[in-house]
Amino acid sequence: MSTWVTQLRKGLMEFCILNLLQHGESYGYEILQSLQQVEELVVTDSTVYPILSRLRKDGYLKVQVKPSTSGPPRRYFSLTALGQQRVLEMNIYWNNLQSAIEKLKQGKPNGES
Amino acid sequence: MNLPIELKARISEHISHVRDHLNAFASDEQREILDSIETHIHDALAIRSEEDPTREQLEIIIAEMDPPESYGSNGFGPEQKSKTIPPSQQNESPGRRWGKTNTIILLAVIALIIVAIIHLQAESTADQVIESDQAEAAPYEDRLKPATTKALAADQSPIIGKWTAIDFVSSVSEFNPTHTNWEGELELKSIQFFVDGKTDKPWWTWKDNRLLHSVDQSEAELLIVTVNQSEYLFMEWISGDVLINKEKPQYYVFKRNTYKVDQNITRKSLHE
Repeated sequence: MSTWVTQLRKGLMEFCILNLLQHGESYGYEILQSLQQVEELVVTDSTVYPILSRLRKDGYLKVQVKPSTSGPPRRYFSLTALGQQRVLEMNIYWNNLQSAIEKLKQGKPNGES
Repeated sequence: MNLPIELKARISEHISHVRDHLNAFASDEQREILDSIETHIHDALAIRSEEDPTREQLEIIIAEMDPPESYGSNGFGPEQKSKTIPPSQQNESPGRRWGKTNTIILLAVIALIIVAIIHLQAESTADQVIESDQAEAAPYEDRLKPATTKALAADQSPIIGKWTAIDFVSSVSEFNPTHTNWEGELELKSIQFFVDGKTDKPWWTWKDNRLLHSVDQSEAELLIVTVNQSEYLFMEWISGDVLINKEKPQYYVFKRNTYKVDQNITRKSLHE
């Protein structure tokens, strides 16, 4: 059970980050704190920061550096057009998958109502 | 928030430990991850400390973060992937594998030679001869070790001597000795610190780990860190943006000059 949960969390992390950034730009620590509100995700810094970097490198996120009163300049992440397209597709797939699984749970895999 | 040097050094130490586990990431990703960790610590400190942050608060924040080794073993980064042997290589004959190993070693040696040549070319532009440092050919295996720059008698301070400017960075963790950040010409070429608290620039004097400007009365922090057994001096650059707009200072990075007697120059000087 625990392995399945771990794998599921890993797969969902990118999905959650992109969905979070749909609502506007945010910086690493703020993104981490927002994700940590979802206890089931069990998010830590060593999972989030590398993913943010990879999503930026893959072209789904862009970064703007802005001064911070608390220390070094912050890197604000926001969705690129490619990122917006990506999260749109992911959400469609997620909804279809969720719907299909619900039908499976009810014993109606062919979509009988 | 202006942190005491002790706390900055502790943050640099933590960041250098994380850096040790980022070898499988590309250099730009490493830099981004380290920047995120640095701002994470500062943001967390700002939230928790109404006044000046303490060492204890910093230690709690670092303890709450993932240990450095997590960055190489959480299954999200490429480090774990790189440890997996692809099926196509599992059945290779020893001879073929040996051949590939030799090719990799050869490419690594060529890369090291290229890095060394680039390094030597950069050094030749300095106005003093600086010893080349073979250890710098190993990127991201470096160790950032803050050195003590105060609480020593003036004549024992590690700051004393001549330093050549090699880079300009927005934070200490941004510095990479094998890849300079600043692409243009550096405005400040070098600086020399004398035992009596003076420098070779008449407007600057120094005391402990502070550089004092006689005109605008500003103070810049001086921080020496050791990267792979080479010392680098980070000097806060107190520009107009810092003084007027209250922006965070960036850093000049200097490398210590080690003097060699250049026989040609000496002879020429004697004959002039």
